[in-house]
Amino acid sequence: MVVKEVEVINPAGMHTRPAAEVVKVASRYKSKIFLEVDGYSVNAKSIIGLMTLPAVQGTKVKIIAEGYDEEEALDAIVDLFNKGFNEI
Amino acid sequence: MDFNSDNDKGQLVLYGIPASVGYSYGKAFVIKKAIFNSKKSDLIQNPKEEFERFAKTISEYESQLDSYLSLIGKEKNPAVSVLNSVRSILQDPFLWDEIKETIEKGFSAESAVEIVFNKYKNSILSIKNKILRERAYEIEQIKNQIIELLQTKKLFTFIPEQAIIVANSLSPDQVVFFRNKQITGIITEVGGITTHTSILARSFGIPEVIGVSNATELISNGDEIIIDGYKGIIVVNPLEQALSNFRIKVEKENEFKKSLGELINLPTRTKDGRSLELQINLNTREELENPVIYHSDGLGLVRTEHLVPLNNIWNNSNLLDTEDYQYQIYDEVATRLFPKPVIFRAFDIGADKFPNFFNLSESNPMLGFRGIRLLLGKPEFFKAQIKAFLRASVHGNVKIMLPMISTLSEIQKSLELIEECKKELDEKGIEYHKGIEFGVMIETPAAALIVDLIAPYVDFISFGTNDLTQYTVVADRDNNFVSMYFEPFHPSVLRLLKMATDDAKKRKVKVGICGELASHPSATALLIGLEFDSISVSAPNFLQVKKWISEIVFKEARKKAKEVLKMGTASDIRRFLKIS
Repeated sequence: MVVKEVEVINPAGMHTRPAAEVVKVASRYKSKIFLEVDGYSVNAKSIIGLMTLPAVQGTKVKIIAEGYDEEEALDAIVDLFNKGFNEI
Repeated sequence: MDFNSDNDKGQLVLYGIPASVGYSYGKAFVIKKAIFNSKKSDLIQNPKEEFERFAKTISEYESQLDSYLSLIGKEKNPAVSVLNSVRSILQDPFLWDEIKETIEKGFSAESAVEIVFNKYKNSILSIKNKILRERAYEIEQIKNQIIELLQTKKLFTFIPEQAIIVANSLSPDQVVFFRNKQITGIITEVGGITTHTSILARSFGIPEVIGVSNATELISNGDEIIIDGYKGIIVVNPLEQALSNFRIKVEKENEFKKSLGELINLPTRTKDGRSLELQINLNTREELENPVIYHSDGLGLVRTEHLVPLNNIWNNSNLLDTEDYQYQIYDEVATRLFPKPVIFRAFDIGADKFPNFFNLSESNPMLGFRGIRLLLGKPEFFKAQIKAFLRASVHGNVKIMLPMISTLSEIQKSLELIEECKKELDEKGIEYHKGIEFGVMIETPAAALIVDLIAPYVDFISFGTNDLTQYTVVADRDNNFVSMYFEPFHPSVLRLLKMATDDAKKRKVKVGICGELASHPSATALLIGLEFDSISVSAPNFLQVKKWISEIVFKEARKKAKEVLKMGTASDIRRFLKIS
């Protein structure tokens, strides 16, 4: 299992479109991927789950990946966060 | 339109929140909220069949989305991404699993949808952030749509043309659907001004009023309705007087629309395709009713000292009151413009503006206690305004700008105050946009000359050419003895603009101009040639300037600007630009 904390940097936060981006990227990997905010965790492959994540600009989000391609999966999601979901 | 039908039902006036501007008249088509209670009593016999019914309904829903998408076409419309996100929710494999499990427990497809969607809706509703919380409406809408489809197979097959839709709330895809049915207006009981539904109504130009309590009870199918989408007023079964007032308003609006022509809905772009933002300067609340502002790229300068009736806050020693009072005004402006940006400039008081608020006797007020100096001299008063800005920023489209900067320390002190305000709001648990953008006016030579030093502290700068001119050429344009010296085309003014713009751009700071200067075609070309990112003009000049911009070739304008910057006198420059 690999874990990394990132920060939401796009102004609008985790709204529907970024959630769809996360699902798109996460679904490319076999590993289980979860996003966690203040102990509340959701599956990164579920858009409706992601929509319930209270992640606004500045929120710290823990990314947890587990499975045989966990390293690659983690890197891909971290990269997406760092690019502000391609919104900035 | 038949305005002369008898009506004996009695006129009824309802009030809501204006969410999409425009006037309309039509007959009500009321959609009662689908009441559905999930009970285990509707237990089903064959879960497999029931799940197939669900799967079939979802694919019907998706093909509906496809047909809406094909109707919209490939134009870059916000509706496309809205509909695509609805689709990705419908395809969520985890959602499907949960629905399947729930059906296998013996619930009907309708109940399973109700149970599972409500679970997600409720966890969204527990989020503190107001904007994220609005997603709950979207989940609710999609849920209702699926249940309706499950129950009726086909939803809203017959909708009269020119209908005004009256509903508890609408989903984004319903708005797209109704738009293609030529509806003329939307009235809802709930909803937010920043939801997808409202954004779509605005982009389709369908007048919409939201937050009209009990609308679906008070309005009946077929009632005649007038919507005033500027003020949020609805007249049900209007009497002759209301109708004739309405006709006058519509006529005015039509004339206005005609005068706008084709240009209004096109993006602001030069002839050779360089795009920039053309924004509007807002002074009063009444101007919010000028439709042109909703066709602009936002408000580049809100003069808050005109917008807020200062008497009401100046004599009030209760700072929380003055903060609340201002917040309501700023919030109205920000939400009505959403998602377009709104730049609020902090009070620019002093000098010639409202001098009687202070019993100051300054021998030279223009060089005196004004703008940021006055604000920093009254920090509690300033903080009430900052907090009101921050609270109105919750939708994400508000920016703060400071007037009359002349030193770096003014910016640093103001930023400290802003941080203090944020902390105080945090302590009270009041929401604001954490990434709110911050900028300053460049209207003194002192500021223009240190833009490279200012840049690290700001997201944008905006020139105020009148003050910059008077402080550079040292002439008061209202003083007959020297007004001829007041010369915005003086080479030193243009050099300051050029230098400061380059300094800002090198550091990725956006540059705008609140330009009386943009009141002549070649002056506009000069501004384009100086590579400003945005130009903000008063509403009556908006279309003219937009037209000029569309006729300017950026590459030529840039060459011309270079020529102009080499010239020695304002009269040479004016001759070259053919400005009298």
